[in-house]
This record gives sequence, C-alpha cells and structure tokens, in this order.
Amino acid sequence: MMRAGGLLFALAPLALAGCAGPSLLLLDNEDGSSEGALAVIDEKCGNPEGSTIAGSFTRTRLAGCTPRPKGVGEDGLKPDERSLIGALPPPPARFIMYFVQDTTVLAPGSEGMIEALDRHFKSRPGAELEIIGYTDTVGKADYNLALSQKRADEIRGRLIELGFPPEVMTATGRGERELRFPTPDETENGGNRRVEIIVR
Amino acid sequence: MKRALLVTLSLLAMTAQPAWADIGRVKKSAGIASIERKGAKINPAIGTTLLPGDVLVTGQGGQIAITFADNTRFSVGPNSRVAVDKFDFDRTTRSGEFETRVERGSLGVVSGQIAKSRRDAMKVRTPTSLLGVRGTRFIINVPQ
Repeated sequence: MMRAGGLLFALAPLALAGCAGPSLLLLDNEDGSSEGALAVIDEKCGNPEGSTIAGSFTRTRLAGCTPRPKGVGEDGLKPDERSLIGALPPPPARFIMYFVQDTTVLAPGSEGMIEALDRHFKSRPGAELEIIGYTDTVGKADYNLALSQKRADEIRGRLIELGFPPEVMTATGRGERELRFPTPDETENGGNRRVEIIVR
Repeated sequence: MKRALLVTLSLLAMTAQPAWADIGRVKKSAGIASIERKGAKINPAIGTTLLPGDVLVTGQGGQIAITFADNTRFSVGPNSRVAVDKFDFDRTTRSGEFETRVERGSLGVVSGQIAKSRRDAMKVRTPTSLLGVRGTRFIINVPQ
C-alpha cells in the first residue's frame, strides 16, 4: 500500500510535465451558476468523502488521488471542446397541466397546453414524452399515488387519441412527492394537482 | 381477421419492450458511429433506444448525442469508446445508479436526476480514475 502510494507520488510530476493523459474539464452549469463539482472517489485513495474538484472552467489531470484543478477561463475551451458542448441535445422542456380536485378532469385553461406541447414535440428530433402525475396533500398517500397515476394515464390516453406515438410515452404517478407549492398535509392546492410532461 | 391479428401483433410488440428497459434515446449522430450491444453493431439512428451495457463507439468525424431517462445528456466526440455499464432509474422516486466508462476519446455531460438523488449515485470511470459526479456540466478527455 505504502509502496503504491510512493510510486504514484513519483509519477505525478511526470504527468504534470505534459504527457497527455485523461483529463476533466469542468464547466459552469447551464444556468450560469457554478455549483458544479466532481470528486475523485477511487477506493485506493482511502478517502471516503472523495477529493472534490470544483470551480467552473477548470482543467484537471486525472491521475493520482489529489486533483489539482487549473483555471482556463471561459475562453480557454479548445475548438473540439466547444463543438462537443454544442452537440449536446437541448435541455428537456416541461409542460404543466392542472386538475380539478380529486379527479382526472383538467382544470379550465389547461387544455390549451396540448397545442404548445404538440408544436414543441414536432420540433425536436427523436423526441419522447415523460408524463408524470402529482396530487396535493388532501387524502392518504397511497390513494394519492394511485390518483396521480390515473392523471398521468388520462393524459397519455388523450395524447394517443391526438396521434402522439404510444411507444415514445411513459406515464408515472408520483403522488404527493415533490409538491410544486410546499404545503402542510391535508391542504387543498390547485398548483400541486398536476401532470408534468417532460419533452426530451 | 387479418387486421385483428395485426393489431394483436403490434400490441405484443409494444409490450415486448417494457418501459423500464429503455434508458435513453439517440437524439443526433453523425460520421462513423455505432452502438455495440452484445457483440452486435447497431446504427445509432435518431430515436434509437439505449439499453444498459451499450457501448457508444465513434470513428473519425463521428458523433453521438443522447438524452437519458433521468434527463442526463451525453455528447460523444470523434474516435471515442464510451460504455454505459450501469443505468438504474426509478421513475417514481427519481433516484438510481449510473455508471459510465470513457475508454477513449471525449464525452461531454450534463448530469441529470440520478446525480442529484444521492452522493456519487452517478460515476464516471476513466483509465486512471473513478469520479463521482456532483453536478453538472463537464467534459472527460481520454487521449489515445
């Protein structure tokens, strides 16, 4: 163990001297924030927390247990790195439809969302739809899980009727999880009774 | 009669691949590019579904872009070999495990919900290290 550590230490200066090995380029988040991070978590490094690599626009050689990120700046990306980022698929889009309490009936105004969804779906190559149902906190969790699944299934059925291909759609119920508007239990809330449609 | 049979067959085809098996889809591909699955080579046409264990392979000028079920996005650069060793995602709890191996070439990543679900739920392996992904946008380079 000690021996291996010593060897790594001896090789580290060589790697830094420019023999091109694996490297990580950490960028900013898409919203421009810089909370991104990775960590070297090799078991042989004996650090259960991992050695964190943080900081936007930093380059880090991936060798050894102690990463040393170096700032490259926003303009420090190589052309092939720019095109790699440019080739990423677009971020998923989200459409939300609301429901009348304890039903799978759409709330007034939510119907119009389908047209926008349809337009967006057609503009995305290889698009797929994830339909996720939610409820507010009125009623038992089990009941709401089932209700949220029914809401998702209802929307999936309607979209199939409108000609969306069934094989690109999934419908999942999430019940009272991830409230859009955090409320105490047993609280009626129209903003939480919803189906979110994620277009990827 | 024939029509009924056809309908039955297409219903069977629909259920033959359960939703959980489908972990992502190809959104774009160009140049020399393929997906290796159990020794077979698959053309990564737009909309092709991915399975755990698939290896994304590109040659000169090749490129593959993928969006996964947890909203993670990949962009594989030219002359690359990237293995999706493990992808488990529970659509209800939005948690899971995701392990990718960059054997050579380049991979651009925007991490998704698996990386958010638990510390180091998403891992990326290179020939020299094992990384835990804590968010969100990065590039791994493994020169040949």
